[in-house]
Amino acid sequence: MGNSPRGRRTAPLVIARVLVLCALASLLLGGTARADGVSSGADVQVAQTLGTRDLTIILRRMDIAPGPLHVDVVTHAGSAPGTLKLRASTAGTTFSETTVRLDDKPGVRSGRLQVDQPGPWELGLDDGTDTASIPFIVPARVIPPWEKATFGGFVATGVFLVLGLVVALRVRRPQLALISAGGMVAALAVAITGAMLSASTPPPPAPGTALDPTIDNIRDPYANAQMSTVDFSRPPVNLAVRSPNARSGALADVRLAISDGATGRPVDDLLVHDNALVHLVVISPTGRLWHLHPVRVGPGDYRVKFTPPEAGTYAVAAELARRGGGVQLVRATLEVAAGTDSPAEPVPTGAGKRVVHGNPVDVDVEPGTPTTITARFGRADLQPWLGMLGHLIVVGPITDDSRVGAAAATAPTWAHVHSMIPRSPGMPGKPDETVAAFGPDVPFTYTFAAPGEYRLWLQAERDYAVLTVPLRIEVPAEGAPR
Amino acid sequence: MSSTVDRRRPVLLISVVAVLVVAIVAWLVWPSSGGAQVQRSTQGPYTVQLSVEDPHQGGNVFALTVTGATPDVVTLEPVMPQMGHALAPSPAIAEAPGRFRTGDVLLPMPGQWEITVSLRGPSGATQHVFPLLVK
Repeated sequence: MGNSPRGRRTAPLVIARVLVLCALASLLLGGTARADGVSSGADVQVAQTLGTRDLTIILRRMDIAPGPLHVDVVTHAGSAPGTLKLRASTAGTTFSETTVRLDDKPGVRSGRLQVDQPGPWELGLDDGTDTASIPFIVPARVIPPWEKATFGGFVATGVFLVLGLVVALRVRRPQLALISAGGMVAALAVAITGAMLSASTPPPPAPGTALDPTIDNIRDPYANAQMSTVDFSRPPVNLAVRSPNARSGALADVRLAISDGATGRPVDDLLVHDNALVHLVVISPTGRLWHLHPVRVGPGDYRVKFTPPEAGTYAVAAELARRGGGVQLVRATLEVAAGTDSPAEPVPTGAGKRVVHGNPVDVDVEPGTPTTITARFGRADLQPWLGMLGHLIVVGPITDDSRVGAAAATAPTWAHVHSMIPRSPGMPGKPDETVAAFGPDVPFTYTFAAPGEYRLWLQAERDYAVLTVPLRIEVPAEGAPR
Repeated sequence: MSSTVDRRRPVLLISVVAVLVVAIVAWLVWPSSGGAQVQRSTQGPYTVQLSVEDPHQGGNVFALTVTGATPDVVTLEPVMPQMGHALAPSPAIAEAPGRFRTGDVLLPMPGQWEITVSLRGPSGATQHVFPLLVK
């Protein structure tokens, strides 16, 4: 039949039709696969206390390098006007830079940088006085092995099909087409197996969060896929806090030296965790609280500036996460010499109504084990801060109201409680600070480990200002606060 | 006339299939080839390029190219961060201007290593950290 005159005439037509179908199929399959297979990151939000400004740097997700990198800078209430230079650099070489003008109105300012290749990069910030660098990863387009098998299999199937048709129609011995048919079945089996295994194939260890990122492992993370069963966690850190010239009433330059707990080497593998590299909570002798985000200046070298209003011992706690996973809390103290002292912070009350920076807040404490503390802010216009609706710092038991800092430094409980933002259906990722639509109630639930007098600081954001509500709660022996 | 063509066809067909199979296998296997690991870092006056051939458990020889300024002393300090284990520094010997080479540096375990290259010279002292995956 293959060599009949009719077959000879129709054969080119059949072959042409099959080729068109194969091309169509490969186009359709190719299109969907590219959309699924891109390993594009999400937005990265990093809070930075740069000089006297509290900034949130948002690195917008990027799909392909070379290409533009959009950086949004969120300024907060009370932020001084000025300029901020942004620099994108890799392996110590600056590739692009831009300047963002900051005015005194809080909000979002945008800048655009260029990156030319996937790999580990650093975003440099420079406000003229202080500098910071944030490590980040420019992702590569990665094709997983199962995807290669699936596409290779389907392409081979198409080729074998055409080959088989040609052989069946044009060759004197049409049974030779069986060779092509066999190849087609094998290729189809490979393609379908690849597609079926795709859902259950474990992802390779991620460069950045599990492994130190390099250009090679970002381009081909599957080269190290066999390491995915290893425990990637690293030793705890040691923290040294130094601010030799700190005086009350003057801007203090606080330097944090973070070193590895096993080798003593500077730690340069901190991950962005809860929207910051380091969350530094500082408590003053009369009970004022700062929640700062030190900037990275070099390996293991983090710096932050703040104005201590009173002399004495301050409690310092740093919350951070190293590559390989696990969040750790390290505590230290900071001595501030006498300068110009501000009036002492009044001892806060427990539940009830109060006004914080012009915002009426009603705090409700529901005693028990666990205890639920709810702050009612009145209007549903709260903004997410550090990816959360609210933060609650719990420290205690503390008995001496004039030495809160020193007592907090050795207090058995030091907790950082979160109030989550409900996930909006259909919205991937977390909302950033530009969305002012949350609240008005901010609930926290915490289990007090021991009875005593606790100091609490509740934080939420409205109009680009972080509102801190100090509280004092007495936890009785049976575990239920009054 | 067509019989000679037809006799040649099976050979042609088999070779086409064979070439196809080889091409597909090559495409699937291609990126997993190891080879030399080369990384660069610039800090202060120095630009350092570290290269090591197929990093593996056991002895590895590291080659360094330093441009920008000439250091007097070059040492290499391997650390395995997950294990919390640091090895004693190994000196790198100058074999040509700007080119240095270590002896066999013993890396006792496969996994994630961090190689710190310390440079000291009249232009200053810097430390460059290179991540390295050891098979």
